[in-house]
Amino acid sequence: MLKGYRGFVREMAGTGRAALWLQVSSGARHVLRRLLGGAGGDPVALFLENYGPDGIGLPDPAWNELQLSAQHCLVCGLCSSECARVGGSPRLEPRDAVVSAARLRVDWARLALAEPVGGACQECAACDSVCPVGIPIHRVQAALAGRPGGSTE
Amino acid sequence: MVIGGGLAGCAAALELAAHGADTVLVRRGPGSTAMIGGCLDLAGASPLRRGGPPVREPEYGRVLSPRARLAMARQHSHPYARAVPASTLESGVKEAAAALDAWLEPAGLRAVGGLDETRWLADVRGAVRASDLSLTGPAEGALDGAAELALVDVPGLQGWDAQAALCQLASERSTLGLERVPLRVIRLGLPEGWIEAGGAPARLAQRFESPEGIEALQRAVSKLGTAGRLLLFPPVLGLLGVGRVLAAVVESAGCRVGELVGALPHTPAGFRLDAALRAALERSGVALRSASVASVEESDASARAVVLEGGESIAADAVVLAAGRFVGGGLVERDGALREPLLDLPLYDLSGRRVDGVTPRRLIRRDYEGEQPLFASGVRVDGRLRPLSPDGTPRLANLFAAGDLLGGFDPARDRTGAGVALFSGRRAGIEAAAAAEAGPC
Amino acid sequence: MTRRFAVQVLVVGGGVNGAGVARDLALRGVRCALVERREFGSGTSWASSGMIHGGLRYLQKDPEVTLHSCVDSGAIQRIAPHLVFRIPFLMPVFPEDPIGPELVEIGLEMYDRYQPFKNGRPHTRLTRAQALHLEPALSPRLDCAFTLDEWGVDAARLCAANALDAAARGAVVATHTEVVDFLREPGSGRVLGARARDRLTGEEIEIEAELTFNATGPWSPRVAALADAQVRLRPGKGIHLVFERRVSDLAVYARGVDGRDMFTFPHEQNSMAGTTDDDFYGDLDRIPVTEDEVAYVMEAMERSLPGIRRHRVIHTTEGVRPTLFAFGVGETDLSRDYAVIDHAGEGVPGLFSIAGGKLASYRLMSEDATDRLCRVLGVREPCRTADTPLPGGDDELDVLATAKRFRTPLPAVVRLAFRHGSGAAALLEAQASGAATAPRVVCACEPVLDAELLHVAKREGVRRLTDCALRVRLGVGACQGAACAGAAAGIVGEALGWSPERCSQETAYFAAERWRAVAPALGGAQLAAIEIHRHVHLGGRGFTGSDPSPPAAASETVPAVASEAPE
Repeated sequence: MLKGYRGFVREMAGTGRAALWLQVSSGARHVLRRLLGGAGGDPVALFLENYGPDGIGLPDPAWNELQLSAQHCLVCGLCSSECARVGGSPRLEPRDAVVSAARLRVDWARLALAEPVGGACQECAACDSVCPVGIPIHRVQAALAGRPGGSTE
Repeated sequence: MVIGGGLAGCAAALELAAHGADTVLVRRGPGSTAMIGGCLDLAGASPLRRGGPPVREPEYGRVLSPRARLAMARQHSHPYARAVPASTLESGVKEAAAALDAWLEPAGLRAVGGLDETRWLADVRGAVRASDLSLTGPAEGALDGAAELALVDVPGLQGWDAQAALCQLASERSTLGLERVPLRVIRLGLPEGWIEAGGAPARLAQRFESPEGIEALQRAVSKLGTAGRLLLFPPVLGLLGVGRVLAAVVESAGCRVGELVGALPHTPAGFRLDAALRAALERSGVALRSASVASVEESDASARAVVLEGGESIAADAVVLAAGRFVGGGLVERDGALREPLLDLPLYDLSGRRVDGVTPRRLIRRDYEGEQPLFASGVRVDGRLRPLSPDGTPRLANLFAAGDLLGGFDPARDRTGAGVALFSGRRAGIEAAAAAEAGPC
Repeated sequence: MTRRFAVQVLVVGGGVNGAGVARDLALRGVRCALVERREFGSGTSWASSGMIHGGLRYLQKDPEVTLHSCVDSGAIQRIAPHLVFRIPFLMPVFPEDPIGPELVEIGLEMYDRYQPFKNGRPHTRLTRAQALHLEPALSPRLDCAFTLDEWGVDAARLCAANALDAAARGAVVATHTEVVDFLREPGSGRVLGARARDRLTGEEIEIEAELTFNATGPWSPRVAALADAQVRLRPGKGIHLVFERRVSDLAVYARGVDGRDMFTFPHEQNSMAGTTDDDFYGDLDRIPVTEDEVAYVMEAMERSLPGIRRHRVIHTTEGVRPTLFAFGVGETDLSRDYAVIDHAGEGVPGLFSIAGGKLASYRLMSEDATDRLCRVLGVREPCRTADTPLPGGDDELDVLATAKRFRTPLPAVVRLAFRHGSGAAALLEAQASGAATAPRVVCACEPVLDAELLHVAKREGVRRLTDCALRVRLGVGACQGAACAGAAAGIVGEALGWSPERCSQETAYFAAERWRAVAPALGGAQLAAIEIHRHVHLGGRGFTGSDPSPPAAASETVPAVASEAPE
């Protein structure tokens, strides 16, 4: 790490006066802050407070696993055909749910939409049985149908 | 034991069952068979167009007569060339088409046509192709012999644009010698609110096969039929019960009625085919397992058992491998290399170059429409359809391969896909039955 | 026959700089024309990371660049709030990193002072456990991590929005129109405009202009050379990998084997990873993406996100930065500063060029360049681009009410609002009137509605199907147009009066262009998607009825309508 500091000093010498002042003052502030015990507050809570309005929250391992599976989607639409065959009536066509699940959740939270993204799906899992790449489609639907913004919790 | 539940796997399983073998078919899910639009081509039936621009055809689809087309195929690495003796190819392909029709018929689906019977079919974009085998629905929509073509506009249906299809079809008429055949769009009068917001075609297709749907359809078409007219619907005449719905519509309209060949996102033909094949398996007593296969156990140069993901092992006297290409999972990329995942079989491209272990992106060329070695690659088999080791001997005595997994042809370009699947699937089934009969070797 | 018209300023190049300058000129009441050789933003802008970030990286040496970027980022957010989205960055610090956490934090403390300019949040410092709590996919080898704040933007749409706004304010705007020669005053060599050729129709256009502004990015040396002028660049190629969906909602810093900073970051529906920076001397119209570059990016990402290889790469983007020339410096250390060049000094008066710069400060650069042009023209009007909203940026759309009113799926309206802002309602209204049915989704991945395609065809001057990939992100998702290209060609073609042959050609060209983007990183799960793509577009499996199209169809020109031989 020492090498890094030496390099930093060298870099500083070569920069303009404004940059130098910025660096020195920031450095001083940083040292002070570290000595006085940080900015205070839980950084994770601060992060969530900062980014909650943009639809970004704590990761959800179950949701991430679902996404890893859903990313194999071939957009063939067999799930939607099978869903129609068994007389399902989901708010979102299963194919559309799978294709855009990742984005939908962020969009919904960002817009603070009260309506759930997906839902009204009986979760009969018929769609899963015809998926050529084995996506648990009904679980994607369920995840999008939870509380607004769709959570697996 | 059959691995893979597409056209090839089902053909193999049904032949095995017909030969009295106790058969289990494992499939991960429907493969690319369930995504077809309605044509099941046997021998790349696409004669050169009259008039229009020259059509670039892959080598073995270039010739006009089915016999000559098959002959061309024989000269290549094409799976058709594995017919032994070569003279059995034509009869074999014909038998395969007839067998498929027989398997599907109880489910109300037919495979119409054959090597000597090419039809002109239009798809939902209005583009026309020749097909020598097609399924109920699109088959009835053959343009041949129609005195007037009427595209049925179903307002609000997703993926369907009757006007655009009309324009395309009009421009193709001359190449088919149908210039004098009048062409029109007829709007289907459905009660308000029949098509839900978004216009998902599968939902409408499902609705059309219910009693109230058939009634509404019949009412809507009752005044549309005139002599010689062919009413062309987008592919929504029933999800599975296309035969039933068609008959009702024909009765009410009093003229020929057919469907257009489907395009994504809704290709009910494949969905129907998959369902009918599954029904055929059930009737024949084939046990259908939905599972992924983890490995094939072997000893003494023979396959002994198929191990499913989860650990269950199913003993087998013979194994047919028909897992397709990339959609089916018959070929995969693993650690940057192209592989056959179950037995690591050697793979070959069109020119006979060995390609397993090669990075997929090294097997592609810039020209999208041109030859792509990656998409013509697969396993190589002997005359009994047994996958070969690099030294040219069968890898296992009782292992057979069929369908898209076979290398040496590009199903997207040469249009023999269904023919290869049926022909090789049945042959593999028969060979496997014989091997099983002979007992453990 | 040659069409002629005269303007005060001719802007060559419809990337973010050209479009930005055209809009600025139009806002100041200067009559101008904008010609773009392909589609707006189809060059470097589309290939960029799509970020209007301040450039923490430049803080050490180029605090000016950082300041400009941050201030301008704030302005872009003000004028196009619908096109931007916040991206929290996570920067893990590993034991072997040359710069330790304390120094990194000093850098971030410095950066925090710039954050208010772009509505950014201050950084936070996370322990190892906290970082893994926020992003479990991070490599557990990290010491600690920091978060900082940046913004993303739909860069291609930003270009189009600027160009369209310029057009709405009186500028003459033409895509697929290439400058073939400059009009010169005999004797003085003064540039008096340019001769351009419509690449689709072959039509020749003579545009007389008092000043000509060359904003062709990496092509600017080539364009300047047409007037015997010189622009010296140090072109740097950059590629990105695009993932099928978001790897994470956070952007994650990564370090290449050579120590370069890269990131995996969310962009719209996808995540992207990149970028590289290599000197490039090749053909700008066929920029190759090599296996090496893909492996280099993947290796870097793997260090921060060990599971990255489980994610499906669907395509790559590639472009060339028009970096200012410098000798004896590594690519990464090149200044991101920009220059407006008056070629009068070389004996070519009337011609200006712009070089260098970043997407993030495009507006400021445009303002500076426009100031220069206006000084020559004697125009005193002040710049208004920092406060005048881009089309759709004036108000927020009530997506719920709009979705209900037009009986349109809510997810589609959300994305429509992202691209068109408050204009989305008017768009739906215009296309819905006369149509008996509710708008339908054409491209499911994005999603794109038929109403939006009609809108861009009729009102935004889209001329090729491939334009829609940039304009509205048609067919750039999971299936790469397998499910939508044919249908979209029908819709756009109907609006533009395309012949059926032209529709087929456009579809084939679209498929071929997607293939070009997919091929360099083809592998894994994408293989199955491309198997289907080929069936659809080549006529296998009976998806479509079309025979493989004639070879000419997949070329960049449209021979059926071209009156001259294509290049």
